[in-house]
Amino acid sequence: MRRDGLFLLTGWFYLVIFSVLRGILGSEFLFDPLMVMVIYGVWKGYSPEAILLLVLAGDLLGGGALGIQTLSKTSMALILQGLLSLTRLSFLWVFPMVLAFSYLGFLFQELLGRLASFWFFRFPSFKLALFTALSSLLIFPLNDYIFEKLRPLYVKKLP
Amino acid sequence: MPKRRSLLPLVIGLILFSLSRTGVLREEMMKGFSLSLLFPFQKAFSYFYREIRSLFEDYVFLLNVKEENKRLKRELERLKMENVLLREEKREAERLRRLLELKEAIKFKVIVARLIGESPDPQSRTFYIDKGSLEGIKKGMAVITPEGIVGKVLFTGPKSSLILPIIERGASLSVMLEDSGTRGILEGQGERCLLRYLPPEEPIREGERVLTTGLDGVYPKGFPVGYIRRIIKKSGALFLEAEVEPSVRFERLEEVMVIKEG
Repeated sequence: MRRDGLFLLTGWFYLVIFSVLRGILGSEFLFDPLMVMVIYGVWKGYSPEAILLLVLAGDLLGGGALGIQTLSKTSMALILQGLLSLTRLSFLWVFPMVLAFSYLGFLFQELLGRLASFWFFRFPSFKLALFTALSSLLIFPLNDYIFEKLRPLYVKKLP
Repeated sequence: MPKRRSLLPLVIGLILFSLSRTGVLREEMMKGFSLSLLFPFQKAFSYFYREIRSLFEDYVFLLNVKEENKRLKRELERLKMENVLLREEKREAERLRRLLELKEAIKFKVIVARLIGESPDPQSRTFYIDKGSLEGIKKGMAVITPEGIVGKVLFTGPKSSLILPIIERGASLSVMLEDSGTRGILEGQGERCLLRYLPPEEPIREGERVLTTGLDGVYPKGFPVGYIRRIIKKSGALFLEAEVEPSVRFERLEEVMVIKEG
């Protein structure tokens, strides 16, 4: 419970930081911190409820139609969970895994946006998925470090 | 039941999406609540970010450039620092002066607001300002700068609001061309805008200014929106289209004005 809470809090913290610092990244170097956190959450076995709450927070803070991010990201989480139940992937797989699932997620999000607001369809930017994958190489170890340091908060000591 | 449990978020997502699309869900209330939760953190981070950026832009970088001049006296450093701070203040004063000039020139009641963040969704260009319903901001109010139209208020929290810029997909407004008076509908495309439904017989030229018509009931009439960058002629199409470059530089936006009463 505490472990999931910490995951949720960290993800929310990333969203707030990204929201403020987005301007300095410019449109060329954007990435999706929410997608990175969702994939991290599934990869490290956080509860589906924690992942759902984080995605919901992202959905509420974004400007798009409510439910688009929740639906697109939770479906990616479900597929990834299925994949990870078949085989355990090492850190070497993080980059291709995030790249593939980000792009798929963005594509699904685009389709849902088209369905919800009658936008014209456009293929999502590959660069966005690429930078999301690149950012995961930094965010994954950073998360590992943070959660390792904060482990005493949620792991009971043996008598 | 681990499998059924994993399906739960997807089912909730599907329900949420369906409810929000059918209008059953009070999206406005939920977004307003999340805006009020986010506001204090965003405001605090935004403040620190501005301070650090100002320090880097105006002092640290300046020091790096002049590293070879280490022999300069302490007095000179102090004066430089003073100068730097004054320059930042001058830049801010210049921006505010232009906003004030516009505020005095237009006959609307406006609220000046500062940008405190952007949407965490990288595919969205919406952004947050530090004024909300407590200051009288309501959904649908027009947002402008001295350069032109920025967008409109999408959701409001008590102390902050989410703005839908004209470049965001889903944003549209009624516009006209300055010289020919030809009217069309401007739609956001993500980075630029697309002007649609232009009659093919009208004389339209690249570089022509695009202004608001005021017909949509949101934006005041005659405000600059952008200029025509490229005219698109599709074979067999009934209307012409044009790519419009917005006059507002969204990547450099720091302060905006929300039109309260027109």
